[in-house]
Amino acid sequence: MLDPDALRALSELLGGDREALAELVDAFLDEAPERLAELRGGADRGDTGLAGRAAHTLKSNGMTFGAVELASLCRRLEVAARAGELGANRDLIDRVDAEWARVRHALTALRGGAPP
Amino acid sequence: MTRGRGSASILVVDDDRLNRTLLARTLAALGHDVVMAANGREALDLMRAREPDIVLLDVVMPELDGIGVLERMKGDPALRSVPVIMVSALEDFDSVVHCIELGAEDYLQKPFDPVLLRARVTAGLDKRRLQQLERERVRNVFARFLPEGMVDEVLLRADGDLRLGGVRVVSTALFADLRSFTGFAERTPPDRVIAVLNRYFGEMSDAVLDNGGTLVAFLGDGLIAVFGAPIECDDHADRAVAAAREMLRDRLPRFNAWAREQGYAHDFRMGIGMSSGPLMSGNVGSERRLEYTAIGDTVNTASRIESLTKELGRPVLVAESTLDLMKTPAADLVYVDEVTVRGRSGSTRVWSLA
Repeated sequence: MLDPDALRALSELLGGDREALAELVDAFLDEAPERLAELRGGADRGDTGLAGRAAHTLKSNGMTFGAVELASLCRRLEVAARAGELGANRDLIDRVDAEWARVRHALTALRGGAPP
Repeated sequence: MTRGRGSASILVVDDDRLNRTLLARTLAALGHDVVMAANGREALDLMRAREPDIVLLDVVMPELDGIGVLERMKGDPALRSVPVIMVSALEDFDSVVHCIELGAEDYLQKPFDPVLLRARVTAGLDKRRLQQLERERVRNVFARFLPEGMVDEVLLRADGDLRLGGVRVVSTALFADLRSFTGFAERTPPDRVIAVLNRYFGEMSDAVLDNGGTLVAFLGDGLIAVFGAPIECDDHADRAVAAAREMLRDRLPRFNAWAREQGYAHDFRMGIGMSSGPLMSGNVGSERRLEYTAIGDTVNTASRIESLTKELGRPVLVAESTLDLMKTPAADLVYVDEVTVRGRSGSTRVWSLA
């Protein structure tokens, strides 16, 4: 779910500061539901700008924690949003939601101090 | 602001809370002082309140994006020189190229590599320090001939370029000459001559700068100054007269008292002449040898009026052109005569200080 190499790199970046890591996990856990709502809402309303930005942020956040699959799905959605082809990629949004549920679970465990 | 060596003030701009926090935490772990902004507008407000040493700027943001922030920074003389490192995902590569063209220093790809982050921030900060040293050097060049309060404004207008663009403004040119100095110099040891001259120029330069004038040149025992250039002002004529008054009433007696204390039985006198009108001024020379210069008919006239002080037996002569431009009439100006100025057709009336 979360790439151990990415998590190790992140931990090094923070100088091994557990508190800082927890702060980052919290930020992701807090913000992601809003981004997911923007992604779906943007796609529903044809607001490709909003959906594209939400996909962009989720992708970037996902990569930070090594959530490779989530990041990959979001990258495809971001590209689709730019091309104005979100309508044809609705299934990707469903897959992002499902993948997020798994990532959230792993992040919560990480937050609780599970070894990466 | 006091900071430890190697520590800098860094502004992190990113609408994405996670990324913002990550950058801030990483930079803080490197010992930097980090300020965060969640959008472009907030970033500009923060920068204007306190100029950061470097800015890490996200490209994709709602409302005002990274490109918009960069454009505004480059259009603002106070923020133009702050190095900016764009932070972007690979997909924004075209935008990054555009940002570099707009003047961004470098870019960092998300998710960022800590080694690259450190290297780019360090390089940006090195550039910033060099810039600050250069700015200081330019400032010192200008501070030699400009009043303190004018230096920053001139620097801002010159945009850090030593070669101040020429301007043509209505101003007042003033010439001051130390009388009978040549004879004194001939019978005095050279080192003492230079000491006396420096003392004299120190006093007179202060009279010019304290009254808002610009020192143009020292020629032998003469001094040239302009008032109202390179920064225009309404009351340049009044300021020039005030400077002449200060030279004659305060500075010259103080200089003479000093000379007597030094054992010179010589009573120095001065001749001061001024004229007003359009003149051109600017920096000329090379980066290594630079002088501020003023040219034009007004300058020539001031010089010739100054040379008339001797024959008319008046220490100060003010041309009619200066009197006409004074904002507040000076009660101590008395009419002297109508004189013919060499090289000019017609005559000019002149006034002196009572």
